[in-house]
Amino acid sequence: MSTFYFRPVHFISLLLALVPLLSELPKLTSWICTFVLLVYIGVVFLNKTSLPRWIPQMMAVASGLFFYSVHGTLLTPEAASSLMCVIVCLKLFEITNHRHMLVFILMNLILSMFYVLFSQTLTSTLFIFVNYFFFIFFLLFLHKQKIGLEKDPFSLRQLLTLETLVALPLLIALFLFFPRFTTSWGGFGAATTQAVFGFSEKMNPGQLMSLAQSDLVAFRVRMNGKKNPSPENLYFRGAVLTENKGWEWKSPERFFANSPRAVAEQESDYEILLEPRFEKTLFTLDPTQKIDLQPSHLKWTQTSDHTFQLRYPVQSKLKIKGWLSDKTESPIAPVRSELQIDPATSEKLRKLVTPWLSFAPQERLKAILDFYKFENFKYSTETPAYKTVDDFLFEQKIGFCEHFSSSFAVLARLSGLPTRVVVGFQGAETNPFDSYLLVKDKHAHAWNEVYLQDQGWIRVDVTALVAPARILQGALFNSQNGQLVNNTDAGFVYRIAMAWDAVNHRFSLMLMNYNLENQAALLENMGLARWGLGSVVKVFVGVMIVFALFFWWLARRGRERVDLLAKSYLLLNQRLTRLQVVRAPNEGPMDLRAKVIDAPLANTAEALKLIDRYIALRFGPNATAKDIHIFYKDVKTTPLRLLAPK
Amino acid sequence: MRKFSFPYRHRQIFMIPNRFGFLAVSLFIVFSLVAATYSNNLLFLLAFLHVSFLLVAILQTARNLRHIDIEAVQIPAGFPGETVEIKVLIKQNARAPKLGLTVFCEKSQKLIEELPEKDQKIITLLLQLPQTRGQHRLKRIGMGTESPYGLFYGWLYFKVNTPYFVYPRPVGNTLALLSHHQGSGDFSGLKNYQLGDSPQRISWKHSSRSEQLLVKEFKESAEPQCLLRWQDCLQTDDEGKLQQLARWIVDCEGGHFTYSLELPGANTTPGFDSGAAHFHRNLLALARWQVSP
Repeated sequence: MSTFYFRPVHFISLLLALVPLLSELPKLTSWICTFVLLVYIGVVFLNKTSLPRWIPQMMAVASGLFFYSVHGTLLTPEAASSLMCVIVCLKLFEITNHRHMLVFILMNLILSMFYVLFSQTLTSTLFIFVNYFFFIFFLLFLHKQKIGLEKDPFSLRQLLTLETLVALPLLIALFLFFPRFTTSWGGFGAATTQAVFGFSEKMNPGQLMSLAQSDLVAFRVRMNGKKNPSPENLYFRGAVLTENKGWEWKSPERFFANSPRAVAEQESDYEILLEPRFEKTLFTLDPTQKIDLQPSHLKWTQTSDHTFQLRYPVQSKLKIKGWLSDKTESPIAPVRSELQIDPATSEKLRKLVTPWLSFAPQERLKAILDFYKFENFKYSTETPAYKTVDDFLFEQKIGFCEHFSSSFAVLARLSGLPTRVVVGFQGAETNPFDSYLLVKDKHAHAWNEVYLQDQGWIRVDVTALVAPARILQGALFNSQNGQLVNNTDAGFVYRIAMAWDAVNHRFSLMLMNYNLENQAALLENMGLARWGLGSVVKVFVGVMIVFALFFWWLARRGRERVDLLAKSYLLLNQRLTRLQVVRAPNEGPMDLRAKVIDAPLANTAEALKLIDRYIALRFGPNATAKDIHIFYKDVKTTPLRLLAPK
Repeated sequence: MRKFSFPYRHRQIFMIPNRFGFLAVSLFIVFSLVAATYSNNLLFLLAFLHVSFLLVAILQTARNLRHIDIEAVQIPAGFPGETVEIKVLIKQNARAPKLGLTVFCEKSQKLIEELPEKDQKIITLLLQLPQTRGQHRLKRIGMGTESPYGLFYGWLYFKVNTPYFVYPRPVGNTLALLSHHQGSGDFSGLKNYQLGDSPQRISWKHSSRSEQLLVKEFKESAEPQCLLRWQDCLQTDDEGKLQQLARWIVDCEGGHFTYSLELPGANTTPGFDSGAAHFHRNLLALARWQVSP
């Protein structure tokens, strides 16, 4: 019966492995797992009945097909871990014996593996250690159950030994010195059959608004040796959108071409630690000239409009090192698509821009901006669902950054200015403890770039015009009082959260940064600089040899200790045999004693004394190790001779 | 029980992962490959945590087999091919209890759930005796364990080299004396004929009067004594003679006679007696005959 093996404590271990992973996955996976667990608790755990085996098996196959249809593949971390979560829950139904239980706890360990793919923070590190402890604990527990030793099943006596202590330095040594080679399967696990559109490759009204409700961190930015930029300069470019149809904006079709790695002559100006979002878009501080990426096997492309895109969406944290541009390079002239106008544009709009067409480009831009300035536009997250741009511009006039940037681009293009929409993030919170910038989902923003003949591409943000507080103070629209409110809480809880975030951020950077180059740098610090990169391998082999020797010594230490008293007695026998006093195998020390008395020895008394001492030590009480040691020395040194022939 | 004079020697401990251990080891490979693919240092950490634990598990499994000794082994003598119970005295000298030790000898094995610190235990194993008469030696007794984690199976051998004896196979003619002995003595009564009774003892006179065959029974005047002699065996070869003698001994023991064995070259004769001890003593004498000690 399954309940025989499954105990409530196993639920704790399952939940410890499952819940953190589910929090990283789509909600749907959690619902499926919850359903399966509830069925298990209801049917098997409480009622002590069991389902026919084919039901959970069919459910496993069905969920495999389901996740395949959702993700287009089962090889992405997301699809694979969703499926794994459900399978682990379904495995519960199958646990009827010891072997199933073992497989189950191994599966819990695999859940930890998937979790680590999504989250690499201090918290997740703690989680995997806790999970691993449970794994060992259950191994012990199950093994005792198997051999029928049920007495104190939760004792960890076997675990807490000298050998266990060796695991820690070994772990550290392996982590530090194991060469971090990367495999060439960088694209493995990427969704190739299904295009993934993040918010930043396509823009529809409402998309950014839904993000604006979220307090999740998108990325963290650290300026290297520079002050944090002022809010009006904190624009993080994501994607550039040029193709317009109604409200919808799309980025142009791009061909992937590997961009060369930035040669680091000097330290990068800033570092962005991007949270895993499974998107191709990389975010860079405007204006960025070139970037470098970590993990270093990732491939990316840099487009002519200075956006950066990964070859494949990546489901892990990655670090962007950016070098700011000094604006000396010649601007890239606009292309036709940056003047494209939706054929469905209304006559009313075309009429609006007609008077401005005679102006110089600079004046035309000013005229459009003045239109927004004086026409009483309102910034809000609660906007009507506009069908056309006209409805927004001429009727309701309440909009979010998407509406402003989108309508601006339409107006500017109509008036003959090459314009594009840029989506990304604007603004950030500063961590009070470590002064890095936290960019959250709620900072998602859309703005424009306009090409002017003499200035090149310039940034134009209509939202800043309509709602300056949004840009300058990071204030967000509050739906309760209809005002822009800076709801960044500076209370006690916020400070604690920020302190924890600072620690976590430092840890993540430390963990991520540790690559082959850093290993070489570590060895350099240890005084092994001249060996170069290959030294990592040499040092690793060396360290492992040291550990192997240590293990060998540990094994030797545990060998059977020779009974010194037995050894002494054997030696005494050998010495007496040389003097023709031979003890037969069936004779004891008393027999030997009798033989010694009869033998023609020169110092019978000493020999007898040795035998008597042996008898006392072997058979008497209170024989200490020290006595035995002295006895052994005496047996070795006492002179025993035959009587000299007369 | 045979005591060993010098049990303190280093023994080689062998170790392989068991089926579940293989799974656990392959999980390490999966962890490191995935970690390398995604350049995920935290996953590397998990992989190294796992491999460190596996190494520690090997050490702990090996330690579970150390400081244990087989102090004595007792193997009773028996007929060829017979399965006997052997007794093994196991002593441990470590500061911690040993868990889940399996003692095995040929095809028989026994699990000791727990052997407390500095304790000893006598366990019984089964041993099938060989088919040939004489002295044999049990070379080694094995001990294996999967404790404490059930990931690795470690084992070692104790070179016990314990001698034991196999009796001659009891085949040959039945004891010819049986009928003579049973026929002697005073007449004590009649009983119903049973298959196996000598036809010479059927009392035809009495049987004709009753419906059944009746057999005369004789009260034995004295304990019948059989002297089983080497030269009485009709076989030509030594082994054959020994087998014949063994057969007679079994017959005598079955017939509750007192008997004595005479072997050439044996300087002591066990004398006339019967019972299990005498039985085995005589058979042992046959087993040991002309066997170099």
